[in-house]
Amino acid sequence: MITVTLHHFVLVSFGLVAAGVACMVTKRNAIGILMGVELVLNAAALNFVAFNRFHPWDPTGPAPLDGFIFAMFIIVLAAAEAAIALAIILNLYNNLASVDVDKAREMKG
Amino acid sequence: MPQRQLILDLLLTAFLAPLVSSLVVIFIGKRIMGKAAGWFATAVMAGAFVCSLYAGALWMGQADHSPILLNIPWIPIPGTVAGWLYLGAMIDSLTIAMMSMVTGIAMLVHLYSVGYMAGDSRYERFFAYLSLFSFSMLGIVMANSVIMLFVFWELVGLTSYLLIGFWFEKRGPQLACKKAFVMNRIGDMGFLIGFGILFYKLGGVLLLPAAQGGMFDALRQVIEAEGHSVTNPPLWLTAAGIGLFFGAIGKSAQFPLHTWLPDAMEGPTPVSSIVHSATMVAAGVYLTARLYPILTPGAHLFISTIGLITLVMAACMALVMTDIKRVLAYSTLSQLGYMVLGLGSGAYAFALFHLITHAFFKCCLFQCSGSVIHAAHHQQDMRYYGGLWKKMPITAACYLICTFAIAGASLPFTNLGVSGFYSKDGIIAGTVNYGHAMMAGGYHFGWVFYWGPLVVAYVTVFYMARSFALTFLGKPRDKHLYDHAHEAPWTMWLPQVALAVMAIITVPMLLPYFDLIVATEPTQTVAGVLEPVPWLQQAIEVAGHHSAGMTLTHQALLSGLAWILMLVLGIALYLPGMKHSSRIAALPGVKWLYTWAINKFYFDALYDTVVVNAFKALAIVIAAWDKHLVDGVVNLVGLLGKLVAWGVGRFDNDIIDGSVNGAATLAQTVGGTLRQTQSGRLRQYILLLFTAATLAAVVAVYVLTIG
Amino acid sequence: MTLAEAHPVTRVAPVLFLALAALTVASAWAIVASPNIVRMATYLLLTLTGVAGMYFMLGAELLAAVQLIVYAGGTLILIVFGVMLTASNPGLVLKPCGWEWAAGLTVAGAMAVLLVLALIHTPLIWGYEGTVPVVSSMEGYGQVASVGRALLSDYLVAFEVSGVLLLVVMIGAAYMARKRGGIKGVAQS
Repeated sequence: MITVTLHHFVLVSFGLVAAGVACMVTKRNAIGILMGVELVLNAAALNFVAFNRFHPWDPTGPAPLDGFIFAMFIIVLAAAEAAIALAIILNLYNNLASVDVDKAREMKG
Repeated sequence: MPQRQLILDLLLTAFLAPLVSSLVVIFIGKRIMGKAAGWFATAVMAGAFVCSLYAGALWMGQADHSPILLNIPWIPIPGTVAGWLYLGAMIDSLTIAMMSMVTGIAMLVHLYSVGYMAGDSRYERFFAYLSLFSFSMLGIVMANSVIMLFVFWELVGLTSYLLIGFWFEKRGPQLACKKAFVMNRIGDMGFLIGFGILFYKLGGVLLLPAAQGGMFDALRQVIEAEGHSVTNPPLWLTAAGIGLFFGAIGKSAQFPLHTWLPDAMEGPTPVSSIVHSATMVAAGVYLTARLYPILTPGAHLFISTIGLITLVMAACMALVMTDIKRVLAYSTLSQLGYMVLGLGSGAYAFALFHLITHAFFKCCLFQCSGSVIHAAHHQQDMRYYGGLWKKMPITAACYLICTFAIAGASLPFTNLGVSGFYSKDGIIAGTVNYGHAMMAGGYHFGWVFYWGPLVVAYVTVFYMARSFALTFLGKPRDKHLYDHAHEAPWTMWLPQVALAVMAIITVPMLLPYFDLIVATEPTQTVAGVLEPVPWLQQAIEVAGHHSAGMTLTHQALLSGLAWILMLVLGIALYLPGMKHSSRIAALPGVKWLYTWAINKFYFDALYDTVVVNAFKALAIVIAAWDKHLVDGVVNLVGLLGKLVAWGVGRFDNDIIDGSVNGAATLAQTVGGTLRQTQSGRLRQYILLLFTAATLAAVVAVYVLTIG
Repeated sequence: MTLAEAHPVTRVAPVLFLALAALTVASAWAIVASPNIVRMATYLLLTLTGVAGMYFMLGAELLAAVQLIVYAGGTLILIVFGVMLTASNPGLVLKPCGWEWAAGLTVAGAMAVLLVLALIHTPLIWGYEGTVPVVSSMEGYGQVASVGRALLSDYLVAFEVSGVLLLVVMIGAAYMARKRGGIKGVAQS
């Protein structure tokens, strides 16, 4: 049997990151882009937790919690950011009657 | 020596006085003096005459007759022996003689002009010119260096130009004065060439002022000192002598530069009487006399030949002229030929004496003719005259006396005669010796040198008698003219009488002219020293005191009967007017000669065609050259400038402005291109963001791992 | 004793892990592939669930619970509300064109490749020695008490700041999303 190690979890987070980037780049729907952002944040949190678990640790001292806390805060901030993003998207929808980001081209240089 | 200083001062006063009078008359003559200008000028001239007479008397009273010298350095010429160009005066016996002659004649001509030019619109200006001319002539006479002589030489030419062209409204005087000046200039060119040769060979020595022996005597000593006295005379010396003589050819109207003198009769008669009889034309002879010490035998031969040709040719032309002034003009030419021939033959003293006697009688002759012209309301053709002796007795008498003088009249079989007798016979005697010496040396053509003057002596009497008869004797041919003729005013006949008297009494026994001249005769000449033509040397030495030739001369002239004969013949032939002469002229053999003579041997036509037209053609060529080539070059330069400016403008426009504009365009293009990244499309932004992030990560990793 | 022998969990871990990993990654890529927004939300739910499962496997029970409650039950619902509020036409499908797919996938792929290379070249050999203890022997590892204690002691400042942050976000979002005089140009369906 294969021992599941850090590498595997990191690979999974890589897969999530790639998906998140692809999602961000290709989606025309603004909410789709938001979803991509969520994916990337998730990948990062997973990465933190995996590293926290497999980090060399002195067994006589307390267990490391840095990764956990960080992942916790990631979740908090993801939620906050999703709220703001949705507010923006609602504004976009109110102004353009559509959530297609390709229609939001007024700021071109 | 105080007396010598006094002589110098007197002569300087006499020299400068006419200049002062000329300037005064020029500036205030018309406005303030009016008629008095003429009297003023005459009075000044009379004062000059008195001064020169007094100086002459003092000189004669002296024992020391070495030249008085006044040398004023004028222009510094560094690098030459002389160091300076000199002005000043050299006064020897010849100077004294010439001064008194020139001032006397100038005074009389001034007086004559008061009468002749009365009523002329530019009366005062005439006297200014006349006085200026007198000043210039005195400058030549008193010159102490070649440079000063040449300066006043040119001044004389200028003033004669002004005087001949005095009535410049008429075409005739315009052309005549130009011709006179140009021909003088041609002569001066020869003079400068001769001078140049001497300067080249001898250096700045030429500029030295006169030493004790006269102007060119110093030169002769230098030439000898350079060692040229032993062998053949160097060709350059002969050439220099001929060149210098060319100036005299121009000034004294010798062949071939003689055509200006008859045309110069377009000027007023007083001008003819002073300029073209007594002074300017005599200046050439004077120059040759001063040149005497450096003339080689070759130069002497040249001079004699020129004199002979002029002499004969002019006499022929005088025979057939009908204008009274022209007859006298050609007579002057002929007599000048005598003088030049005399100098060339070695009869130095007699040639110069003839200059002085000629001055008196020719001046008088011209003045008489002027009176006649004045009386005949400016009709100059003798065919309209006749029988004027009744109306103008004084003039006629003076004319007759001067005819005697020019004829060389003497009491037959004696040695007493009027002035012309001594001078002319002296010259002929000199030429006899010269010719004999030449023939003795093997040159068989030498006889022309004395037969020519002898024959012309006969001819001279003849044509003078002709003019006298045509003018004063016979029946009046133009009644209207005869009726209006009258004797001249006293201002005109008084000078004539004075001159006629001088013409008689200027004989060696009475007046000291001849002695003065002989005193300055060069004792040693280059020709005398240079030996290879011994007969010539002998001839020249002997000719100076030529008792041998005199005998033959007297014989040839029929011991004084010849002149009577020719006089009677001339009067007889022309008493009834031109009747007989025209019949003679129509004879077949004579007619050809007559035609040639009356057309002045076609010299004028020749010069006009060959010289004048050639120069006109040259002028056209040069004008075309100037217009097309020179102007063309200038235009080309302008065009080039334009081209360059165009090129620079294009450069400035295209390259400089272009680069500036190009930079702006570049910025614009780059900006426009880069601007497309700001499309406003969100997804593009995201794409770019992640692409950049990836690349940055790659670079960072690369750097961190490798570096 | 190896880790595999020490803990029974590690024995079933590979299969479980594989299943969870497959679920997570597949759902993530399904989000990318799907054009329908509602389907995308569903797939996101599945992804979040898979990640929570992985948290459980890593011994972070509290975090897994928080993930499920907050992320899946809060944020995702928020997103679904957003979908609802901005649905002009439910059947509207917004598709990008071909080259955009290529560009996006290239960038994603490049990033993935980079990360993998970085992973390969980084000596991470933890978990193979016997230094990592078994999870169950870890005293309070991932337990609520220890996390709470840590939050209020070591990470106090971050905790308080995030509280302020959430306040600001709430105010800001409320302000930004307020209704302004009618919706422009909305098709009345």
